[in-house]
Amino acid sequence: MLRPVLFKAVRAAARPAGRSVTPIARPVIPRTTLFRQRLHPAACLGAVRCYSAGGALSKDEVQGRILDLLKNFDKVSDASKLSPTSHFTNDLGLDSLDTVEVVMAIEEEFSIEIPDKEADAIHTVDKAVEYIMNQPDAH
Amino acid sequence: MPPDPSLRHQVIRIYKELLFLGRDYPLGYDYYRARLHKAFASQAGLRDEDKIRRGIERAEFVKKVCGLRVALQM
Repeated sequence: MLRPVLFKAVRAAARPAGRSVTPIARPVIPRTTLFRQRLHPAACLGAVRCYSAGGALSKDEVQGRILDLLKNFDKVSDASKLSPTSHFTNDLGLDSLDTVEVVMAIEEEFSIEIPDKEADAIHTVDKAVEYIMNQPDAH
Repeated sequence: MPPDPSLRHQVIRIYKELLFLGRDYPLGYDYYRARLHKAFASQAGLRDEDKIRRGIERAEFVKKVCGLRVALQM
């Protein structure tokens, strides 16, 4: 006899409280953004650089990446002449402006910035590889 | 007699800046790059320093216009 009355009273007391709670609980969007923020670093984990790892690039890798980059450069007139020793102007038929573009592409590929003076000296694949190997920041 | 090497660097710098501004050119980056390359290559024979300076000024003007267009699009 007393129990149902008690239940009713409790329920009645809980209901308005519950209703007043809903508007607070409603902002689902901030919650998802919070979730997303929490997820974000985990999703990017692949791109996070581990500074403890030996970051040095091997010469073959650098050479391969530069040759690939040149292969995809549409102004290289004769792709068969592409070799680790090829000269941009003499072998690949690039002019000085194309060389500037190649150097820019190399900068982008290895996430470094090459100062004007050094960039001026890069005329062959060899020189580019050598320069990258001397850059501890290149990756 | 080759002109002042600092002018050469200035030209290269403005070439790079213009290339960068053309990244989202409506007709495609390759089109833009080819045109820009042609425009610069056509002036490659300049040996008179004043003429080169004038060329750089013209490039600066183009850069301003390009930058404005990029800014207005965004």
